[in-house]
Amino acid sequence: MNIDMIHLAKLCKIKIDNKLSEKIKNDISKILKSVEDLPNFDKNESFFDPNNIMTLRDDVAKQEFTRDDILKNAPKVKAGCAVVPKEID
Amino acid sequence: MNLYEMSATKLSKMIKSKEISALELTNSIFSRINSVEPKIQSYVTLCEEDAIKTAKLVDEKISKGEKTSPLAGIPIGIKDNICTKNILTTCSSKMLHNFIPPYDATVIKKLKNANAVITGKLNMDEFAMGSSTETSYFKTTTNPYNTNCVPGGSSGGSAASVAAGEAIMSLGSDTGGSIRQPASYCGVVGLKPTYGSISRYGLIAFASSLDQIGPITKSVDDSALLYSIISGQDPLDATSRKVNHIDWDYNFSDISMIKGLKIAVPEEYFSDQIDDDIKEAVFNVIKMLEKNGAKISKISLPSTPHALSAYYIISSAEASSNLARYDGVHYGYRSENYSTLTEMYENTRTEGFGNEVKARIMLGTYILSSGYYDTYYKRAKLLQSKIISEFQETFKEYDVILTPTVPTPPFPIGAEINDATKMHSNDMNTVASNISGIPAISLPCCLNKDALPIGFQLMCNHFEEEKLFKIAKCCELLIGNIKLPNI
Repeated sequence: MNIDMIHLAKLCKIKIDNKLSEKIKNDISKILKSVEDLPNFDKNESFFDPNNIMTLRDDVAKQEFTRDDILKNAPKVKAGCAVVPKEID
Repeated sequence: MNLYEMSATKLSKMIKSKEISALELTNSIFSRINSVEPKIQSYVTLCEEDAIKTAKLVDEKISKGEKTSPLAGIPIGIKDNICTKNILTTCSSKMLHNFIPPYDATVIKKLKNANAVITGKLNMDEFAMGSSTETSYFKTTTNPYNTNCVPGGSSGGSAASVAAGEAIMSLGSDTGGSIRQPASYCGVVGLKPTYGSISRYGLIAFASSLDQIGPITKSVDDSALLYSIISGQDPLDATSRKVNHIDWDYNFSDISMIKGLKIAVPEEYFSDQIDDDIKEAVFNVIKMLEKNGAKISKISLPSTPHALSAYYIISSAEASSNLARYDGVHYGYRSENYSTLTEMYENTRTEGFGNEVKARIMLGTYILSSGYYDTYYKRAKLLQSKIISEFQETFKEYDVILTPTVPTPPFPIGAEINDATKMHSNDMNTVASNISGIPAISLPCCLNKDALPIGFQLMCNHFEEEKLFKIAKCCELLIGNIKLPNI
């Protein structure tokens, strides 16, 4: 199966070496092949359950956490903000 | 019998009648953990101090004559992908090795309101991706029946801890079989409830349309007890649904309900890939039910053999999206080696995720990429519709479907970790209930010739948990308890 693993890894923001790339390609190919081998289904059959209606809560902003609570887990913090490398000169 | 070997329903009565104190029970569990944890390795984090505080609170309430929940004082372990406020929640991944949630999952809030004693956070496959607990970043949990074997996964720590007496009950999560397969491997009861019956708020997402939290327990009564406390609609989870409250009768023992029960036995779940001992054990259960008046019918669910393919497409597509949030910015691991933003993302994700997680993210990204959606994702979703309609047709005629839970007995640690096809096949009998959203429970039926547990699975229609518990309880009464592990 022709999968461009370098491009795929780039899309996923993951670096993989040749050995792992080969293993993952092999595993992915087997799963994709099993889907290609599926019988043809009625394409008009809906895969949405009309009885399963989601109840959405009101879109109201609430202060549930303080900024400090949220930033406690951030790897790098400065002046109340998460720090990332500079992108613009 | 030691306290750690007893069921929650029995211990609850003992606590209420002051035969034992909640503190005594909690101390007994931590003493058991100290003695067997070096062999079983089921916990990532222990919460002894908080557990003792809660146990003392329960004893105080009881001494004052206050009304308490049936879960008050019962030691419960939590799978490490369920958020616990101020307690490390790692998903057994390096990516979240230091993540301390600022909030509780809804199920945890409900347990805390019931004054359940949270013993700690349980080991699992990384981000719930795996069937052996070997993909955990921290440790490999072992099977209490044979510590050279895996406990199953991904909720391996949850199942092993209950079987080993390191918790009276536990919470797991099930996306393709992750509660039922380890429950079967460890000789305990594992319930995957109807999708939407238990809030997923605070469950760290793997595949949001399939993930479901559920109980792992020593008995059906305990499963019904824990389910009745944690189920219900939650405004914080839009996919949760209104559920009829189960007022479970713990004295229920009316096995006469078996008479006339219509049980469907689908041939696809007894394929050549199923171990002969497992087939024989499950057929013995079927014969026993037939002897007690059940009407057994062999049926066909022809799309089931393809369910595993649909599962890997749908779950990986959702995982690739859900796991995109791990970028080293707001929480979790960040690589120390980067100079640009893109390099920081790439190195963080490369160093933070294990190989199984990387493989599933890549599969999901591939099938969702331009040109492949119709070929793979849409076909998988059409198959999902087909599977749902086959179950719906079956439940028009039958009360329950009975199958083996897993194809093989617990396998030795290391035996399947490099063989993805073999590892994935562990879920062949469990994924269809996730794909269709129906409830399914795994119960132990016996030990095989190597003294390893064999389980069987019962499935009912959506939101028929009460019926499922009743049928399961009848089976449990007819089969009796299996021998506890000797660790």
